[in-house]
Amino acid sequence: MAILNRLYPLIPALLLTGCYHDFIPEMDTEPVLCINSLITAGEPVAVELSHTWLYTDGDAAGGNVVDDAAVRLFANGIPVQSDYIPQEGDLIRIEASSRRYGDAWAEVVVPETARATVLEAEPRLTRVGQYEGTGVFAADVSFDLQIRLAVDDISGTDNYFHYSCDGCIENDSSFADTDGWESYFSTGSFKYEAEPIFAEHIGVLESVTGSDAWGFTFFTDRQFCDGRYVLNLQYVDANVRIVADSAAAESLPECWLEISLSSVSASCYNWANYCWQMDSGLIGDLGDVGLGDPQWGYSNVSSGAGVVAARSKAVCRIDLSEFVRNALAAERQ
Amino acid sequence: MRRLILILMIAAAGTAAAARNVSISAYDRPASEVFRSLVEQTGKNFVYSSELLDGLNVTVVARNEPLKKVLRRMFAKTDIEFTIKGDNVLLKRRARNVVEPLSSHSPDLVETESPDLPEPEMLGEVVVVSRLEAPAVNTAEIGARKLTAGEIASVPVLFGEADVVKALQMQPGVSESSEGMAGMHVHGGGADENLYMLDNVPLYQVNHFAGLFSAFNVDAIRYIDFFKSSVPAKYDGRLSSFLDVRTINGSSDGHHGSAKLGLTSGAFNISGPIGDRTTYAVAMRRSWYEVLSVPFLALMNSASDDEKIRFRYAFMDLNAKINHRFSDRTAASLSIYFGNDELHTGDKSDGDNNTGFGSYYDEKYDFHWGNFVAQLGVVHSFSPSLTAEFTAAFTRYFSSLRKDESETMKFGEELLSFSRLKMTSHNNINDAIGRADFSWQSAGNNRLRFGAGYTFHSFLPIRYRSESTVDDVTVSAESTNGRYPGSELNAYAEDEWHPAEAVIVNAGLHASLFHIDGKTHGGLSPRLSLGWRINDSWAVKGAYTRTVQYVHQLTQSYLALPTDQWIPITGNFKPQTADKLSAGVYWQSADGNLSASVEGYWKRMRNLLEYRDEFYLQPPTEMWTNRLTSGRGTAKGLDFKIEKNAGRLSGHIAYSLAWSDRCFAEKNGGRPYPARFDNRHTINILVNWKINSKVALSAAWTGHSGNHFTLMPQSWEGPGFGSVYGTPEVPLKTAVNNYQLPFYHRLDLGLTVRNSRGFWNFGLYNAYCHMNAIAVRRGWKNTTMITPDGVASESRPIFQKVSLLPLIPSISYTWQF
Repeated sequence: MAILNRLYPLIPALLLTGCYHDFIPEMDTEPVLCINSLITAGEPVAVELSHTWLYTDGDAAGGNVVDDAAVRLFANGIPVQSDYIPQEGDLIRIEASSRRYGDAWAEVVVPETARATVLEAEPRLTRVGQYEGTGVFAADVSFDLQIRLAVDDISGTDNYFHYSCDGCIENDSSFADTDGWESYFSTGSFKYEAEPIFAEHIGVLESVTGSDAWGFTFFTDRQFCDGRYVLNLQYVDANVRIVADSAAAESLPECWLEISLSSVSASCYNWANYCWQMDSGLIGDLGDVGLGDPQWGYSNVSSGAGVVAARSKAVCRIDLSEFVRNALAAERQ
Repeated sequence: MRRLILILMIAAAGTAAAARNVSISAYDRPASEVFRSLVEQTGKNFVYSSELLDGLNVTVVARNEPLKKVLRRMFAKTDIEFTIKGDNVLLKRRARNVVEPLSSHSPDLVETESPDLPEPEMLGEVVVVSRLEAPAVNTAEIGARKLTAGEIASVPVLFGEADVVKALQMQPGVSESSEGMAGMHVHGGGADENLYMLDNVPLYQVNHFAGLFSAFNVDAIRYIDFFKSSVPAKYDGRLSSFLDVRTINGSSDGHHGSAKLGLTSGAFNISGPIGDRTTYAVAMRRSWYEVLSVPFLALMNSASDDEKIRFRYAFMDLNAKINHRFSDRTAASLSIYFGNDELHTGDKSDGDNNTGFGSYYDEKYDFHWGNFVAQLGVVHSFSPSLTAEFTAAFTRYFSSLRKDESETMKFGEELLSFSRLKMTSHNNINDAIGRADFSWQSAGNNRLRFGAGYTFHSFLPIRYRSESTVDDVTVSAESTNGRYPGSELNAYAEDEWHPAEAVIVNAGLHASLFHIDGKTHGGLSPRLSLGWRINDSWAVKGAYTRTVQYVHQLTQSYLALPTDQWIPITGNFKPQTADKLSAGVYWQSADGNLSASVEGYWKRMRNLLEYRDEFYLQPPTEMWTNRLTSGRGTAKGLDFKIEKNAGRLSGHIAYSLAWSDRCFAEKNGGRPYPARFDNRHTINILVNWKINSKVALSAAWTGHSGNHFTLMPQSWEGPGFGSVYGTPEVPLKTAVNNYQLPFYHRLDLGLTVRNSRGFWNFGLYNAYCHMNAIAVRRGWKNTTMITPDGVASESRPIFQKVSLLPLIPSISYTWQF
């Protein structure tokens, strides 16, 4: 009966039988400079320079390196050196010129740092397993975690944000050489669908055809109410593995969740949005098969190639050490 | 050889058809012209041989008198006698025929389906033709076309599903929107710049199955009126064209109908009398894909223990109409149209793997969209020269989308996790319409048409709600965009005047006010067309037309999808306008069987709306106005057409030479670019060959310069920025529509074989299977090579032309009763 599974796609195929014919379009093209840079407030600026290539030539590894370019950095209209540390509110301009690929430039304003406040962090224990041997104690603590994070808007009219999170744990280096005996903190499965604001970029057409916000945690302040929005963040099956020399509370490592809320430039948000639209949206697919307009890549660089973006990070810490210790203690009892 | 031609005049004013009494005022006018007026008032067919009326002019004045009496007076001094049988008026000579020289007033003949003919024994060699419109040399209209249901059905199309819009795509100056689809672009205009009407009531969504078929069931169509250059003052509201589909009236001489079964749908229609004063007509069409898909899916699902797939798609449309004659001066009609598409799909899986862990997934998608139209029309004759038609109508477009997706994880009976995402989206337009249209025929050479109407619009561009539940926490989001009520008031007046025998002047004005979102927009649309008949065979015409459009369709694809939104003019945008100058030269042969025309046009469009570059970066929660940009466009060209419209072999050859461009402030860097349908050359050839009384062959060949397409030959390496998408290869921005696809050409064939009870229809779409390129994509070419080290494979990037539809056969049978 497996053949039936193969026959099913044939029904629409009978209606719309697509086929492709290879060809090389005869079009004059000139390669141009591409500038990519993500500027972070408080950190030196790094710029990646490359050039465009003909699609049919392929992107040979390193084949798009520009070796004759000069890059200039400006902060608020004044030339600065490469060790300049950008600050919030700085207007950063990057200019690049190459005899072969011409000139390109881009400007971005480093956004103001957003304020994020953890209103609630509620871990819910799901499983505990532990092993205690001679001079070693290992435990797995699994839990679900629900966080309510308040985000206060920053000045300006159109603001963009990005949420990310890392599980952090102190590692006892004495076990580093032993396979499998390493502490770690996995945040488990993040429920993108639990927070509707992560799906605000998804249109009806995408939604009803099954696209979701997986991998996308950018959002805007369009849905903020009175300058504030409370994110509903849910992690399922988060897991802390502890490897320590004993089960004594004082020897258990500290573990915490590091939450980053970055206010990002419009170019950063637009780039992420473009990537989502092409990867998970329908608009890219429609253009690909001739049923919609094809879309080019988002760029804020004068040459049309590259993205220069900026961000300012706010970091919050949710300490879960006490929760883990209590869970282990309860399990031992 | 005497050749009999049946002239069937099955035109006309829908609601007037039930009125048996007629009013007419004609002084030394060609008899054929007078018949057209009678057809409009009575709905009867006039059947006569071609030479019967040659050179015959009549004078008749009647005020609300029975048709029989009027005809008797008309032919009192001639050797013509008539018989009224049912809906047919049969004309013949009393004595032996005398062949007279052909006159310049020979009728324009257009072949159509065979009607129910009275007394066939007297017809000799029967070539069945119908004449719906006045010969082009006799009117002031430019780019106007009337088509009967028979003519529409004679154009071979995809899946054999006769289609109004696809038939119009064979006309010069009309392009199909996408291969196989029932959308059209007229004289370089957009797909949403055509006003589709059903008995003069606007329809917003006119497609089934993503645009593969139009919403008009040909069984319910009597004829269509199509205007693409000079437009009667009565019509406004779209920039490019106006298509008024007139539905059939019930038969008064018994119950007749047909049933059809085709590859994609089945159709049934019936009409007949209800007493002496009332008739009814019902036509219904429904797809039957479920007959295939339901058992097929049942089989497939039975083969899978874990996963069950749901899929059901259906479309249907229903036309129903009742005509009633209250008195000799008043008649009324009540009609409804309901068109509906439904798509239900989803997936359900039970992942219980006997280890205690269970994963249960259930997703459902329910899409439902369509149109509803209800119309009440009353025709009243105030005097022989003044007739009025009063219309009250309600038209509704609706689209409803639902998604319900849930996932449950269990260990034994213990619930480990549960998540559910529910989403609903609604989009609709409700229009309530009241209108009065008057027609006044002066004793001289003037015919005045005037009227006024009011439309209350209620737009709901989008309303959505999503509700997400993870375990016991539910979060919901709702759109804040509300309903937009709007008022539209319009009035028009138009005078058709014959200042001299050979000259026709048609001058009119359409004025409109559109109030929405606290703003009132106004529009004045002057119309002027002039016709000069140089001699019996030649005429020249010129026209100026202005049109105004207050609503616009937003769509992200070339398909007609339920997510397409009709939105009113809001924000700082202004109504779209088009000014069009057109001129033409027309020729017709002495017997009216051959005609030729050359029409030129120049059109300037202002305040056009288009998605701006990278519009998709604006979240859908934003107002749609933030995604749009306003601009202008021009279109110019020449339409050539040679037509043979009678005889066993009929058809036309049409050629268009055209240019069309656009310029938007926030698109293509503000620089002009060619429109997608800037097809320099288009050739359409349609041939209908009646081999004998039972077999007819039709062929349609279309060829045009390729559509314009945005091809991005270069790439750059996108930044990672720590995203899940890595460092993608990204197409480099380029000029819009910078590449022209190869010449498109296709041949479609149709064969109709009649038997005593009905007819078979066989079709071949794309008969020589030319795989036309409709787009270019970025693909990969995989090559396998044998090297000294073994077999190696290589993959390299390559551009690929995308082709869609190969040869597609079709078959249908229609049973007539």
